[in-house]
Amino acid sequence: MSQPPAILTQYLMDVLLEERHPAYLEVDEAGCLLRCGGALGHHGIDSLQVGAPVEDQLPFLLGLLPCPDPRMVLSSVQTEQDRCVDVHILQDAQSGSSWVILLDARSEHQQKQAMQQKGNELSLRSQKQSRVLNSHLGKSVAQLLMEDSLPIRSSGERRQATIMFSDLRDFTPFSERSPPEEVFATLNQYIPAMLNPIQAHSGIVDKIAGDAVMAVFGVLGTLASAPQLAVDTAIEILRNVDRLNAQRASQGQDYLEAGIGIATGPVAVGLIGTRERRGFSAIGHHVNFASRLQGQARPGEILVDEETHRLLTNDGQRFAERTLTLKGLAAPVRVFSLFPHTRIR
Amino acid sequence: MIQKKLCMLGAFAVGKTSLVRRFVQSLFTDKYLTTVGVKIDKKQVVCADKEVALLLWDLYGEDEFQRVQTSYLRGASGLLLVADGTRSATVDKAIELRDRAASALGPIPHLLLLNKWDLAADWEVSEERITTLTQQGWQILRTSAKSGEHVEQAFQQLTAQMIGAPSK
Repeated sequence: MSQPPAILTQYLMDVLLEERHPAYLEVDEAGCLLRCGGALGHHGIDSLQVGAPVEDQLPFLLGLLPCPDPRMVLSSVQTEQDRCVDVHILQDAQSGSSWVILLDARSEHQQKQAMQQKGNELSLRSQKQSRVLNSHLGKSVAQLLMEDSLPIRSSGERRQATIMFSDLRDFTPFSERSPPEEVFATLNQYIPAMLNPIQAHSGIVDKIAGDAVMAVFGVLGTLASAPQLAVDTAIEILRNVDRLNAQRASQGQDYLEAGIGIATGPVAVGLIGTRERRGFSAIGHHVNFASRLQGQARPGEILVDEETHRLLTNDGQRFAERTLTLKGLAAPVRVFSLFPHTRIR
Repeated sequence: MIQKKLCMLGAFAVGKTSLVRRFVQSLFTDKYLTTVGVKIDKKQVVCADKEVALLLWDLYGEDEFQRVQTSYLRGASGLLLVADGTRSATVDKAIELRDRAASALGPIPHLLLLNKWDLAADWEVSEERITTLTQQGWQILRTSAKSGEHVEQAFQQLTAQMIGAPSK
C-alpha cells in the first residue's frame, strides 16, 4: 500500500493531536518509568516520577507490563482519574521496554454508550416479554410465538382439539367476603396448581380469567391423544387442589374446590391481536361446550363430552354416564363424570 | 501494601457495576446504565490482618454483539463472575466466561455471584441448578446490590483467596 502524501499525513497527525490528546510513557523491563510526555495533564496525570515503579503511580497498569504481545489495545478505559482513554501498549523487542500510549476516548465512548444502552434495553425488554409469555403460556408455546413458529397459521385454521375449562367453585362469594390482598394471595396459590399440569401435558393456556383457566390440547405436536392428555391434566389439577386444600384446612384457612369440563371437536385456532400484542386463541362450538360442562361440574368433578370419552385410551371405564340439559342446547346430552379423588370434608 | 487486580465479569445488565458501587460507595440506583469498555475503581480492605488495595476492573457485559476481550484480564488475581438470578441464561454466560478466562490466565480464584436476590420471587435459576453447580466445585453467593446482602462478603472472600489467606 502506498504511503499517503505528506500533506495528508500531517493533516491526520494534526487531527489526532487535536482530538485524541496523546500522552506516552516508556517503562523499562523492571516496570520503572524511563520517560513520559505528551498531554498527560489532559488525562489527569501529573507529577510522575521517573525511575519509580509505574504501577505505584498509575495503578491501572497493574499486571499489564511487560506486554507478551508486540501490541495490545484496551478501549474505553475509565481510569481512577475519572478520564476515559484508549490504552495502547507497544513492546520494543530490541530494548525490552514497553511504550504506553493514552488517547482521549470520551467522544467515542459517549457515542458507543448511547448505542449500547439502547441495544441492551431492547434485549432486556425482549427477554422480559419472553418471561411474561412463558409464565402465562408455558415455555414451549411462548418460545414458538417469539420465534413465529407456532405450528398453526396465525391467520387461523381448523383443528381437532380438546378444550378444558377449570374453575374454582364458590370463588365469587369468597372474593366478596375477603380482603382483596387475601383474594389475590389465594388465587396465586390455586392458579399455579392448575397451570403447571397443563404445561406438563403439552396443553396451551388459552386464557386465565379470574379463577378460571381455559386450555387447549392437540395443537402442540405430541404423540399422545389430546383427550387423554386433557383428562390426565384434569386429574392432576384436582389432586393438586386437594393437596392445597388439606394444607389450607390445617391452617384454618378457607379452601376452594375445582370443577372441570372437557370437550373434543373441531375448533378454529389462530392468533388474535396486533403483531406487538397478540395471543393464541381457540374458538368454536366445542369451546362453548367445554365451558358449559365446567359450569355444571360439581366440586371435585370432571365432566367430559361423548367424543372425549370415546377417545380415551385409559380411565374410560372409571367414568359414570350422566344426562344433562345444558344452556343453549335444546336436547339433553350424554356426558361422562369422574370424581377422581376423595375430597376433604 | 499489597495491590490486587480483580475483574468483574458477566453478561450485560446482571449488576456488575451496581455491586462495585455498593461495595465502594455503599450506594445503589435502580437505573440501568450500560458499561462501555472498563471502569476502574479502587478500594482498600483489610484481610487476614493485611492491608490490600483492590483495583476493581468492572468490564462491559458480554452480549451477542461483543465478546469480552481477555486482554482486559491481564494481571488479574481474581474474578467475580456475576449472573442475574432472574435470567438463567446469564449463568451459562458466567460459566463460559470463566472457561475463557481460565484458558487465557490459567487457574485463578473466582466466585459466582447470583445477583438480584432481592427479586428472589422472580428467580429463574433453580435451587437444583445451584446445588449442581456447587457440587461441580463452584463457590456461589446469592447477592443483592440493592440490599447489600453478601456484597461485602463476596469481595472479602475473594480477596482472602487472592492473597492466599486461610479460609474462615
